[in-house]
Parts: sequence; structure tokens; C-alpha cells
Amino acid sequence: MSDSPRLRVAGLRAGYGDSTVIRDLNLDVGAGEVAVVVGPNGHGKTTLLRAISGLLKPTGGQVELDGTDVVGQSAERISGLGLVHVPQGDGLFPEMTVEENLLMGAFGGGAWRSRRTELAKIYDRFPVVAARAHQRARTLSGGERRLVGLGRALMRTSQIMLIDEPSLGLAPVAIDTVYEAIGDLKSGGATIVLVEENFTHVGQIADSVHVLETGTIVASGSYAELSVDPTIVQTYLGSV
Amino acid sequence: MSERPSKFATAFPDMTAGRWAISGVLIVIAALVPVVVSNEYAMTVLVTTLILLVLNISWNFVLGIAGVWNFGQLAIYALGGYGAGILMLHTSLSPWLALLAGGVVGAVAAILLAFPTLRLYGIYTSLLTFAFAEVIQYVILNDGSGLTGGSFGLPIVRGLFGTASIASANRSYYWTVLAVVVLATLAVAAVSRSSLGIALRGLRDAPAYAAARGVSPLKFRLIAFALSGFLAGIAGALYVSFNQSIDPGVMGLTPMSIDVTMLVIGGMGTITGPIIGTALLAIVQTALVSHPGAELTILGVFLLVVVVFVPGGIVGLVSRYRKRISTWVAEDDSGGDPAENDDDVQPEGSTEQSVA
Repeated sequence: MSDSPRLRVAGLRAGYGDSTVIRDLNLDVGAGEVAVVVGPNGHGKTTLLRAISGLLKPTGGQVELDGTDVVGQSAERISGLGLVHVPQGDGLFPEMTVEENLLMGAFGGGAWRSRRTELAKIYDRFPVVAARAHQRARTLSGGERRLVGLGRALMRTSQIMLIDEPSLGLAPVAIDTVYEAIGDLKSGGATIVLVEENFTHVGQIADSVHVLETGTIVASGSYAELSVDPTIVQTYLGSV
Repeated sequence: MSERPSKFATAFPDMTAGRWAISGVLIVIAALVPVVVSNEYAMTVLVTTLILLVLNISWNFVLGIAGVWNFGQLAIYALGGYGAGILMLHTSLSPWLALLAGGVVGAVAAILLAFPTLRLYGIYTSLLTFAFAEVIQYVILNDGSGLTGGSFGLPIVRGLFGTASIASANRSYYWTVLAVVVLATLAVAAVSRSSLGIALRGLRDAPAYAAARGVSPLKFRLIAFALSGFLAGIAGALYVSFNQSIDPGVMGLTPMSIDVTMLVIGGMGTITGPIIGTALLAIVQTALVSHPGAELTILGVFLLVVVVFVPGGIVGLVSRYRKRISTWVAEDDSGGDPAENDDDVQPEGSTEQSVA
């Protein structure tokens, strides 16, 4: 068990209708690691996360959580195994209150019983979220919503988290807060797959960086290696 | 975390002491109505309205809170009514047990109806459930076995209060149905704040994301249909007991339109919406009782006005204005427009210090 990675993606294929978006994609993430997948828009980053979490049925390959193949299982089953997907644009329930949104993270695995303790922890960690607990989610700013999305992922412990472009559309100061929160998740022991369009914010937390192009990983390495590789920096990532 | 709120307070987090007091007073006033009203026609209208309210509470649960476009609720109501009525006619079962049996029939029918809707959404759910209601009505109308009495309906059913005089039976029915309304409202309020209610509203607002959070659409939809069906069945059983008969006229487009109008005008998906909508439309209907042609037209206009101008219904309108007033009182500078936030907004939680 100990040497099999927490999350293994092997030969994954997935797409929409007749068009294949993800092809032969391999990715291993060890327990407690943060794997960052970077790549340009429209090359399959979101599709990859959706295929892992079961929101999209892969057409081939394997997705293993702690050695168990979960391809073809429903999103609710996969979620029950400890995987949390924080989708792009938060995936909050706009007409429900912030607290109810957080409680949506407490389904499965007996987490409902410990919900009050977990809520209190999240409110301690994100006072901004605590201040808005009884407001509807749609009345929050983008940064606040993202914190709620991350907070909701924290309602269950020992997680594999998929985080989709946490910096998208946020002001720099809000991005810093969000990345601080992700750093907290990492030190709390979460295994994280995070996708971003570029290198800008991930230096502090990335254990490995993977470059995704036209649906497959074309380069992998540490942040230190990839961020100085001139070809990769120029071709895919723009400036660092 | 040291002081744990009591189980009761946790079940109704929206209820302050003041709100409990107001609710208590309103219930007492409602319970005293039969003491004051001596007109038996008025009593009949009141009991009929309360029975309709039980049905509307059940329908609001599945339509407004669970967000499933179920237009088969009147068939479930009728099935509960026929089930209880047939038991009262042909067996010596206690009528109170027959009442419960009506609820069970409703729950079973609703669960059976829930399965085919699982893969559908929106208008397709409406079409399927409406077709179900039409089929049930057709089957009852064309029943050759004599069990349902076809278009004539069930003959004289002994009700809950068998040999009592009309006046005393009317009052007993009034208090019985009022008790069911109070219990049902408390149950729906508690459920909508529980894990079940949060799951249902999550599935309503974003089914895929709710499933990705581990909320099973199958399990929760079945529970929602079963609970709502049970209550609708009880409503049907109350109807057959009170009227001592039931016929296929309780189903169909006209009664359904009136019920939907009541829900929409009151405020769908809210706890008090069905009560307000049912009461209001019952008053309008009673006032128009001598102009049968005008009744549906005026209700239609009512519905149109509410849908266009007050999409949240009366409950939505009231909470918006209460918010406006309380924010206006709390804030000197009318800088931002807080009207968008129709939940309990802390005005001092200013936006400058929050994450952009």
C-alpha cells in the first residue's frame, strides 16, 4: 500500500461526444504531495479533473485511488472514497447560505456527525467566511466564494483534492489569500492536484509540475527544473 | 463549542423566541376559529381549505424544496384518498388506521413514480409525472370492477367521526386537519434545515456538483418523494373522510392549476409560502363563488402578475422589504444597495476588508 501512489492516472482517455480531449495521460501523485498541472487554455486541464472525479466518464485508461480503480464509477461513489473536486468557478450552490454550502461538504464517510467541529475550524481559519456564514453564496465576492469552496473541501479529512484554477479572475491580493489557504491544506496532509494556466503562483507549494498540452503530459519535473527550462517557459508558460 | 444548543433549537435555527411566540399565537387563534364560527357552510369551506393546505405543503416539499417538477401530486393525493376510502368502505379497520394507510398508499405510489423521473430533469419530469396523473385518472374513470365507482366515485364512506352531528363533526375535522397542518409545517421546517434538506436543495440547484460532494440523487429523491407522497396520501384520506366520498374530479388540470397558483403566489420552496398562498386564494375563491366563470380568469391574472413582478411570491416579497427596512435602520449612509441580499446580512461586514 505504502509504495502505491495516493492517486494514479494511467493511459487516461476522455472527451465529449466524438472529440477526445485527454489522450494517454499518466500522472502519479504520492500521499501529501501537491502536483500542479499547467498548460494553456483548451488543452484539457478541466477535463482531466472532471475525468478523475467521475463528473465525466473516461473512455479508457485507469484512475486509481490508493490502488483501487475507480474508472466508470459515479461521482458520488468516488467522492465517498475521499476525493474532493473544487471546480472552476467554485461550484457553490448560489441560493444556499455559506454555512449550508460548507455543510454540503460533510456528506459521506460519517463526516456529518463531526460537522460542528469542522465548521468551527473553518471559521477559525477563514474569518471572512465566518462573517458571511448566513448570507447566500451568490452575494459573495469571487475571492470569498473561492475560500468557501476550499473550506467546503475541508469538511472531510484525509482528502485527495482536485483544485481547478484557483487564481482565475481574482485580484492579486485575493490570489495570495487563496494560495495561503491551499498551503494550509497541504500542511494539513491533503494530497492535491491543482491546475493553473501558468507558473506564477505555484512555486511555494508545488512538489511536482506537469505541463499539459493537447490532452497529454509533455513534460514533468520539479518547479525548480521546469521554471528555468527556457523552452518550456517560452513555449507554454509565458514569463515566470 | 462549549455551550451546545438544544436539539430542538438546532432543528429550527431560523426560529427566534419572538417567531415561536407569533407562531404560537397564530395557532391558538386558528384553533379558536370553530368556537366563533357558527355557520356550517363556512366551517366546510375552512376544513376543505385546510385539507388543500396539507396537499399543498406536501407538493411544495417535492416541487419547491426538492425542486423536482412533479405534476403527479394530485394523482398521489387521489390514490391516498381512494386507498383510505376503500378501506373504510369494505373493512372494519379503524378509520384512523385507514387514514395512515392512505398515507402509506401515497408514499408507495410516489416512490414508484420517483424511479422513472431519476434520469429526467425540468420539463421532461413534468411531462412524465403529468402523464402518470392522466393515466391514474383514466384508470379510475374506466374501472369496470366497481371498486372505485368510476366517474361517480366512492359512495358514502364513513368518516373519522362516524355518527357525530354535522356541527360537531365539522369542528372535529377542523381541529384534526389543523393539527396535521401544524405537524406537517414543523416537519418540513425541520427537514429543510437538516442534512436531508441541504442535500435536496443542493441537488435542486446543481445536481452534478451535489453528486460530486457525495450526495446520492437516487437515495435523496426517493426519500423526498416518499415523504411528500405520504403527506399527500394523508391529505387525500382526510378529503375522503370529510366529504364521505371521492371522485376523479379531484384530479385534472383545473384543481392542479389552482394548487400551483397557490404555491407560486405564496412563495414556492419556503415554509410559510403554501400557508399564505392557500389562505389568500381560498379567500379570493370564496368571494368569487357566485361568479364561476370569472374565478379561473381572475386567478390566472393573479398568477401572471406574481410570476412577472414578484417571482419569489409573497414570502419572498416580504423578506425583501423587511431586509430593506432593517438595513435602512442600521445604516446611515445608503452607499451600497443591499436589496440583493435577502438573507440575514450583517451591515457592518463592510466589503473593504473582505477579499476582493
